[in-house]
Amino acid sequence: MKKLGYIIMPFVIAFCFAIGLYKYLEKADAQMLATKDVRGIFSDTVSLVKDKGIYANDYWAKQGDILMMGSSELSHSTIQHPVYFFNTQRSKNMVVPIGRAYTQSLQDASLVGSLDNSIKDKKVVLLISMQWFMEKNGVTPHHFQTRFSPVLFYGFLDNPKISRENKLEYVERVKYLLSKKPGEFKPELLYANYYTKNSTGDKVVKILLKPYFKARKFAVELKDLGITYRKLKEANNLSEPLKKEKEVNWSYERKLADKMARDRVGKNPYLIDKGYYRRYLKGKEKVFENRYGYVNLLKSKEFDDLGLFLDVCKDLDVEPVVVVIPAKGQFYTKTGITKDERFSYYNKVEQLVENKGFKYIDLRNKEDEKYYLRDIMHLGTKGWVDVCEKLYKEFDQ
Amino acid sequence: MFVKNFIKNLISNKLLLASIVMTICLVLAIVTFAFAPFKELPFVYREF
Repeated sequence: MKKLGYIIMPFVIAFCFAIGLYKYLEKADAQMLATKDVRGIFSDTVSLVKDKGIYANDYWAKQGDILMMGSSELSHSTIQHPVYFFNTQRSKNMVVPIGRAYTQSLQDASLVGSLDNSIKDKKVVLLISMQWFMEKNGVTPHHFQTRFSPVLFYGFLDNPKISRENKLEYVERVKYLLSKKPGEFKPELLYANYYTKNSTGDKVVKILLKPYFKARKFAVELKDLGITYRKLKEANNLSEPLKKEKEVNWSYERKLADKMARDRVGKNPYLIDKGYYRRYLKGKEKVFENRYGYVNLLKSKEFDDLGLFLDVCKDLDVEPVVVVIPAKGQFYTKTGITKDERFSYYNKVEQLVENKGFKYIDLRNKEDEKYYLRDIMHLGTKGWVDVCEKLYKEFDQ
Repeated sequence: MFVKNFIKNLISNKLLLASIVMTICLVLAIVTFAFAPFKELPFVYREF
């Protein structure tokens, strides 16, 4: 009996330590989120706190900050970026850019679906790129796994406001995308596999595995708190809370964007950044000729994922503003994705969004506008000014 | 003196020693897990 005590005791102590650490981190993170200057985290384009966490995003959503979900366009390639307009004390709320290249609709659905339901009037923006729809099967398993977050996964499936139907659709997609080399996400693949099964035997296994998944969920939440803690520790203290001090002068910003673009672009047939043109396009006309002729934008699985994102928003009374970023028409026509095909894609996204009753910002007429894009797919100086101005007005900043 | 006695007792009681080592290992594992991110797969930028 005494021997058994020596074996059990370390586990009891470790259990108590883990609970204590969780409570401590929860309290410390909340305190630091209120007193630290988090703009550095907002500007970080590869932040685990924003892209894969719940705790800090909940805090910012509660404060009324705008959660802007997108992909590679959120990298800081031009001064004109949402953080420049919204996080410089010129708006009522700040912007939290979430996502990086290959963060697509399904990952965004996980994030929205795992936010705290008690937060009212969440401000959500989804920036959609046409490149998401170029793959027939939508996001690839490899890219999805690089963006996958277990804490969001469990948060989504535990959310009582999301319908069973949407959860099953989500689980089926995650199951498929994690099935090849799940690596550290084997527990989530196992959870997804059993989530949809309902035979008596499977129910018994589910009951037996319940404590394990409870522990796993606790562990990934602890990790979210721990990573947030580390990031917040590095941030500077704020002497006083940040408040709006002045307005954005949009006319000045437009002129500045135009001037900066002229320097960046120089002379090239696409009117995009000269560095990008030289590196990827110059002298490669033949390489790109009809290169994407096989692509059928309208049949991509990404539409199902986008539909799921919108359905989840509907379940949770979140009203996202969807911005469809235009593609460089002049380039994509040459690659075999014609204007008709692109406009059919814009129409399909628009219908999908509007049928759910959400707002849609249509930018298709900007496809070939001078300096709107900095390359063939990312917003440039003028593009960001335009999009941010529209959002600034939309959210009454 | 106290430390010396404690260590002496600890060495003589192998079970207690094993129990303490195990506790330290578990606590360190929890701390490492809490603060280290899941391994991120290499980020590959696809131009098109």
